[in-house]
Amino acid sequence: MDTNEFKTTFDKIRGEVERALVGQTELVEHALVALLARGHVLLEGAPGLGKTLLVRVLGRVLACDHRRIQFTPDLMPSDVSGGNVWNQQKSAFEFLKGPVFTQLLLADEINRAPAKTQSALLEAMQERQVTVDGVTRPLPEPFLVMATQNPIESQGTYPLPEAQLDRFMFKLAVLPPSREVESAILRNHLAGFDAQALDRLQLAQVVAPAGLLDMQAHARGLRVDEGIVAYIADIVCRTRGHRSLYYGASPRASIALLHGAQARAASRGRDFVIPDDVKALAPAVLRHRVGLQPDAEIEGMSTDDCVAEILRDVRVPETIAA
Amino acid sequence: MRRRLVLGALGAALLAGRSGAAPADAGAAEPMPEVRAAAAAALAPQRFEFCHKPDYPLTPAEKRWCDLGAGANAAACPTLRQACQREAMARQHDLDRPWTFRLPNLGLPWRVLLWAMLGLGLGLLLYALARHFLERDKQEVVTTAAPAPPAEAAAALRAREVETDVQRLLERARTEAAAGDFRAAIGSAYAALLRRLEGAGLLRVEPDRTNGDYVGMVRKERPAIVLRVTEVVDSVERAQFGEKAATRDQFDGVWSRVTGLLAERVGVLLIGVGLLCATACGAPRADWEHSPSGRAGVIAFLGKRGFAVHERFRSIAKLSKRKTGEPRGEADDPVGSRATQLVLLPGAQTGEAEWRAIEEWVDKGGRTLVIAGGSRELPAWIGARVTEVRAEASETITPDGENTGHWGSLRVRVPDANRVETELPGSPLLRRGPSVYATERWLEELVEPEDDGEAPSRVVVLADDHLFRNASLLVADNAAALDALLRDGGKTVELLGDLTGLVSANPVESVRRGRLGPALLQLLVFFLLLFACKGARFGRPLPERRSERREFAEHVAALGLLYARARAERVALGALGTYAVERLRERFGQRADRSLSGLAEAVAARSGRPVGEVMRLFLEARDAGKGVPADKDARDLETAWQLGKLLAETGGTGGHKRIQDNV
Repeated sequence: MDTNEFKTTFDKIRGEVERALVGQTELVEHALVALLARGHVLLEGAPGLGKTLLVRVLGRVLACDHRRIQFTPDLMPSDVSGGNVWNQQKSAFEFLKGPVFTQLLLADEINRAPAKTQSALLEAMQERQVTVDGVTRPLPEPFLVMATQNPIESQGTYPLPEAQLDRFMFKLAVLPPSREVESAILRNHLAGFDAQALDRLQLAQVVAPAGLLDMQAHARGLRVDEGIVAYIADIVCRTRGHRSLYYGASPRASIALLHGAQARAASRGRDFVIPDDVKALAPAVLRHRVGLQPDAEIEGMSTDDCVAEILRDVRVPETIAA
Repeated sequence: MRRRLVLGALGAALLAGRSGAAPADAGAAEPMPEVRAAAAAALAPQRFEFCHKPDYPLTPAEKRWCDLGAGANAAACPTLRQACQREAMARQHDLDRPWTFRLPNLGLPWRVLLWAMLGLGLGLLLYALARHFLERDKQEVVTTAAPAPPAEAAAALRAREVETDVQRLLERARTEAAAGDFRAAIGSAYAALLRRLEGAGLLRVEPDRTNGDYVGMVRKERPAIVLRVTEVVDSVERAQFGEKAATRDQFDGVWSRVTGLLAERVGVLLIGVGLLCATACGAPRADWEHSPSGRAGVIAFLGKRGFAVHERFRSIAKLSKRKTGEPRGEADDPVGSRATQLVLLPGAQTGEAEWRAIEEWVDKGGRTLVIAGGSRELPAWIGARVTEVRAEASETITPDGENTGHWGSLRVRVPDANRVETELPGSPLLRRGPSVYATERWLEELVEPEDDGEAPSRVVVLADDHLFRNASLLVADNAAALDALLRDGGKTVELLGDLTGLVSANPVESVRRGRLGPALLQLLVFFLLLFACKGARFGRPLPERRSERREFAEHVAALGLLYARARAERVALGALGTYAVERLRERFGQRADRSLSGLAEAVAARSGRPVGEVMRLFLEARDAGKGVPADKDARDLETAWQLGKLLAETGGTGGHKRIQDNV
């Protein structure tokens, strides 16, 4: 696969997805970039903004298997990963695969489940495998987790532990649509669109899972200049000493930023990464991997503000300015 | 008798001028050598560029002196002949017709207010300047106290120096390309483009900005060129971050696009500068006073002829020191000028007060008042008026018939054909054909008796002020006539002209006198252009300064958050509850041994909340303070927030309010 073919395919996928999901251009692009960079996405937004639809449409366009888990306080780890059950006919334990054994997994309202259940996803997200009773089973490729959480409700929720958050490549804010987009959504529905009947939309299957793996491999092979590497390292290291941050980002953040930038560069038809790729993805990569100091929180700062401040402080490679 | 005295002086000057002088103009009398020498000496300094620069640009009005033979006097003015052969290129300063603007006469309170505001503004300005310099001094002290950087650091600093000059960047790009370093050459060419765009205000180069940021700025400010800038950026990034080494073709592509964009900017800039210049720029000349229309040469000439000539800067009205409305003629009333002769030029502002002051000056011993043209209304006691005739004067001005014996064949030539008309008995001095060019009148009814033996006073009215122009010294017998005209009036001559009364009545007048109109107009155009390009905000807003020092209440709130984060909000509630109850007891004057219900009633009455709700808050806070475990449904954070709100409602401070907003 060459760069032009990659871009063409990427644009087609995006075009198909946006036929169903109107007005969420950035969300769609970031989700695709995460998918091509072998990452996972945490979506934060109110209900009804199209998070589930995004996964379903992606599943169709990419011809991938997809499932949804509604996280609840009484959800057990085995409800996610599956477990061994006794087969009386065979007089033996049989492994019953949980919903995690899919290619596109929507973990809806992930923060409603306790930390124990959330942790069931740790191995799956990082190692792309599931270990139950000492037996490790690989997950199908490609594998993408899209988790959602509602930022409004705080009662009865369990904040995601840092280790869990760190496994999400991007945290994206799903914003409510503008008035124009809202109108476009309504017109789409008037024209016969039904989120429950995507067949009617006749979405094209742009690429098969094997093709998607090729794209992932191509993105990983893109050239990254030494200056870009230093730029990423500068940004991430600065999160660790920032006065308003309680803790900084891990090296996993650097890696995520690097691979994300590669995927973004490929999606733009380039065979090399530029500082813009890094800068554009840095907020999505870092905002959930750093913790605010209480006094900064009091002052009304957000992690996005800190990341923006860091980006202002770090010198861009090959810049002409002092 | 008096008349004979003056005419005798004029005649003597003329007769002296007749002897041994070269002809200055065909048909004109020869001025005396001293007069010619004085005129030549007066115009000798290089500042009189019209006499020393062959390409000196003359105005159309000045060109008319050439027709009268001004260029023929090569001894006094060597290069005027060449200047006269050129087209009139300079712009005419309309000094003869001053435009005045007067603010309405404000009452005393308003004037006091105006002066107070001006004083306050001046004070603030001085204060700001003083503070600026004091702070700078402090910074300099700190700077000088700092240790000098080591040699390596200095070298590193030099290496970090950034070239910002577009031409030098382009030159650097060419040099690097010639050396085969196309990657660096492309970077330099791109830097030149960015610096030019920065100079045009389309973007601002900062170390944290990416090429995408710059493209975004250009897209916002100048969408028309964003496509071409994007093409340049793509090539630059391919050279800088791509796998393949930069090639000559890549450089050539970037170079052609960059130079194309730069040329476009330069063109627009040149057009802008040209338009601005067209609004006010004329051909370059020296200052007006040393031009053919000016008077510096005349003053120098009269100085060489023994006169003490100066321009008056104080107001004409201050010739008299009487206040308005006081009766005139007091014996001990001083006069505000020591000059024996006053020359009233067209630029001088004369109103009722000024004429009254002039009249008093005459009354107190002023000997000669020369009114040199001007379109002003003359007072009745002068008995003459000037009639402007907008026509070329071809005829030579000669002495009146009765004065031929004294003036001889004196010939005066001036460009305009104005004339003087007399209304009271007077004597014409000079005539242009049938019309009078100059007249004089003895002020017998105004002048006090000659008990001190001084010469009598007179008024001379000229049809224009051409005799008082530099160019006039070169034409015919004008210099001799001027000398003769003033010879008998005393040695001290005061010119009343544009500069008289420099203290302007209002700012508009100041601008007019300073001839700042074109400059201000250009400034206005400049700001309008800025406004059109950048909107109301010309500069970049400075980032908001954050307060470094936090309030105590913020630390408390941060501590509370830490408690909450550690799931110990009940401890925080206990502490806050104890504090809140104590504060409320203080505010409501209740002793500590009183029950909470009494306090709750008082607080409820003031805050408007139900007593039961207030009581519930107090009880929950008390239980938390005593370490009573929380119920299943306890909402400690909510209770703490409500307690904070209660404190604010019953007289809390700003700090408390901030806590509540953030809890």
